[in-house]
Amino acid sequence: MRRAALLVLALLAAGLLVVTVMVGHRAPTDTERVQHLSGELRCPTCVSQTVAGSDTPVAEGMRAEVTRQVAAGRSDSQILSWFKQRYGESIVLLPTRHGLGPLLWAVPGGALAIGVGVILWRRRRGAGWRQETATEHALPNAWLAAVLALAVASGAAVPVVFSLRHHGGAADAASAAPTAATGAVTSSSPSPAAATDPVGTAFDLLKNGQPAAAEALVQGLADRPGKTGTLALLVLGLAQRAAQDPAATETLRRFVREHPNHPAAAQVRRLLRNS
Amino acid sequence: MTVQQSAPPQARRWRRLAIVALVPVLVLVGVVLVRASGESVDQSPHGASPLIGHRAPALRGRTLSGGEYTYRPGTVTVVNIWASWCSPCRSELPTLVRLGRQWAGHGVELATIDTRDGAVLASRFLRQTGATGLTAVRDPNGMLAVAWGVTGVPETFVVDAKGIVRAHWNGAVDPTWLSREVAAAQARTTS
Repeated sequence: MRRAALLVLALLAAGLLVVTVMVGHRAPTDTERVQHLSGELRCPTCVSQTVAGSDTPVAEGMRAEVTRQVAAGRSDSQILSWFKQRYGESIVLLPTRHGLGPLLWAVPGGALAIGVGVILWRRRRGAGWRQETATEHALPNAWLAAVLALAVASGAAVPVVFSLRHHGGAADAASAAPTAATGAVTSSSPSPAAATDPVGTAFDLLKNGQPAAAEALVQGLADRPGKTGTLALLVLGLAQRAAQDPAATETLRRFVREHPNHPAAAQVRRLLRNS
Repeated sequence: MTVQQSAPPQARRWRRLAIVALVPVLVLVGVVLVRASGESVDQSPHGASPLIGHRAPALRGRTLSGGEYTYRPGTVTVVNIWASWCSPCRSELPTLVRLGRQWAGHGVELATIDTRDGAVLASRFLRQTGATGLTAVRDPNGMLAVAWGVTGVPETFVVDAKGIVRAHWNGAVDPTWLSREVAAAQARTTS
């Protein structure tokens, strides 16, 4: 009976390990990283809310900044450090490797070591232990099982937590976290393909009523040659127009001037005539 | 008279061992929960920003008047973050403009960030408050404000001539506090 229970625990641990490794090693998309990072940042003006789950102006600004930094290729730890420098350590929701992080590693390891130690110690006691009554063992065995289960569960949870922290993690895991709330960036980044393309993401932001964030994403891209620059210029002009920016007219005129045969040029000319 | 039966010594020992093993786990869970709930960033009126004592973040962008502004160390600079939709900003701005005029020519610059605002509304707001000459860098998405660690509007920073943030105020700024901090920043420059 006891062997069967230990076998089940071992199989459970092995299963969790396999799942953890599979989840942790898949490269996250930019959308997933933005979702995850926004979920790790505390909304500084809210109570118990993450940046992902808040619609306050500061949270929206922070989401736009996370989106910009992810698009710029900065790592998760660089982005979180950037926010800590400005808002203090408490802006990050989960403990880091420098805070409580090491404890998260040490506790399951310690619990597992205790459990293994106890088993070995009891085995060494051999026959004397077997002669004791079943009543004497019922309770201790339950505690032992609880400690082992905690060790296995927390041991499996740690790599999942840290793989999400440092690599972005899977969409399923991210949606289980608080980031699943209705964050603007979360709701406005419908596909991974759009997220890897800042212009596409900006267009989605614009469609979702966030012209300011869209403008920020394409600001530096409008002068690029090729298709990216063309689309960035168009999105920039439309975003400026939506944000009542006086520069919108000149940006849209420039788009029409430089790309007179673009499929959107006719529509932009109409917009300019009506404004 | 009945004697209460206690658990066998072996079982008691095991129970104690298990409790000892569980205590650190429970403590850790408790600490993580406390940290994860309710804790908010310090928003006391002044001295709260972690930027104090560190290099000022970049401040660059298009201004409401259509020009370009780039902050460069060299003079004591007061950086104020505001928006036309913010009521305390409305009461604060005339004071800032008055102080800014006093500082002009005395090595103190006033630069502001107009955050998450429409250009038309913001320009009207400046006209209404008599602050048309104000250097107001546009921050339509709020990212400049976030770069300065701002949690709300208005907020005010005093940056010394070396580009180090020396003081920070949350809310409508107290002119006495601001004058004192500007003087202290100037004293650092000359010392």
